[in-house]
Amino acid sequence: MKNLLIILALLLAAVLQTTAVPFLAFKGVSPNLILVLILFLVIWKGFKQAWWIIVLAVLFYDNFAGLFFGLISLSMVVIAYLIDWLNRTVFSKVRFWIVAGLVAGGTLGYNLLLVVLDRLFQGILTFDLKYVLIEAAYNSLLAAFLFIPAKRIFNRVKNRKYGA
Amino acid sequence: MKRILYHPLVLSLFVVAVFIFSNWQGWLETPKDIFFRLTGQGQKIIYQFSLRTDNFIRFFVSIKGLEQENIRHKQNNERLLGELALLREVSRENEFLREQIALSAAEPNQLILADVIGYNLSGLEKYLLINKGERDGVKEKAAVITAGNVLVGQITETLETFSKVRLISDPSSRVNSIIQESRTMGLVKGDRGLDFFIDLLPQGRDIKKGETIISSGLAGFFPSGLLIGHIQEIISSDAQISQTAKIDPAADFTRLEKVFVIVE
Repeated sequence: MKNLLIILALLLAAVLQTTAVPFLAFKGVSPNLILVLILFLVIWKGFKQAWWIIVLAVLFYDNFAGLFFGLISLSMVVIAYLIDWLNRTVFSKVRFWIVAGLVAGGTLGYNLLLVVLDRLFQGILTFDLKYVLIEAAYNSLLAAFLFIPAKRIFNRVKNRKYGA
Repeated sequence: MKRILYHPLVLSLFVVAVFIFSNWQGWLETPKDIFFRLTGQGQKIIYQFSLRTDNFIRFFVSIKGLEQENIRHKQNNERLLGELALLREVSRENEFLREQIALSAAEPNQLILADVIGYNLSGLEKYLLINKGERDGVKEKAAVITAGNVLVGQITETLETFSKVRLISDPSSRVNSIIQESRTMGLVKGDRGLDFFIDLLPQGRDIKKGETIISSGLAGFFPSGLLIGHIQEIISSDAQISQTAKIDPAADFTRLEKVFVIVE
């Protein structure tokens, strides 16, 4: 039941990313809800526990995208793993500024990796730092808005798991 | 060895690789279509609800300038009515001359009406998802327009009942075009963000703000005469080989509700 709810939530996130989120665009750049949710998952749950959810989410999202199928999935999976590793190695606690920073860093890395992979498959995308920085700032802002609700959800799940 | 194979990163990359291979082989077309059939209706409702909410908010934000905008539209309307009367005369003259030299008139395009059910703006791309596909006669590379013969994009992927449209403002889009007034040829290119350009305009040509850009039909990807936009600003210098200008697009790509696919 819990897994079904997670799958439905991810599907809803993918649908929202391609319907409602573009209307929040600033200077033609909209936040990436899927990327933010994936990074939240790896920060709170860890890549090891959440890898199958991440793969499912990115495949849902890739289905809606117009790029070569799989490019977004590959980029997001690798970035989720790297952010998890960075979080576990450098930071011991989940704090507001750490999450915002990791989301910004994850966005930069994701865009860079996406352009590199695209060069291998299609070769049409270019890395424009101005727009990537806008997206990173926007994603961090979205992460800041979602931080408190996400913290509550993940802590509740953790408390239930350990019977607290 | 076993530890490496069961590593979460290796497992995830393996699953993604399997999907990439399946898609490449064309095995995912039916599952994709089923996926869109399941999500399509919900997507359409959320998209149209978001569009209406956005329109409502914009209306309140722009309420102050409505009077000025109304005056501007009235002036434009009067000018356009004058032009329309003139064009009717030219059209009759053209018809008469065609009859004289026994030249057949150009056949009007066949169009398929489609609803926009999704819009993807992130991840370095600008795509639309429409609710018409191969079953309705939509083919890859077909041009997509909106009311008033305004060019919107091109079909890049077709499923049985859905299709993906790459907008002409997407960074990877290229459209051979022509400036209607000066007959100067150029290449319309998209970019990330809101910017949209016409490039490769020869140096020495006098390009003016407000001039109309239409598709030239060169290379055969898009029919000729489709409206793209107007020159907003020349952004290149004399030192460059060619001129580049920013375009004010005729279509508002972020608020499309219905589009037409041109059938060859």
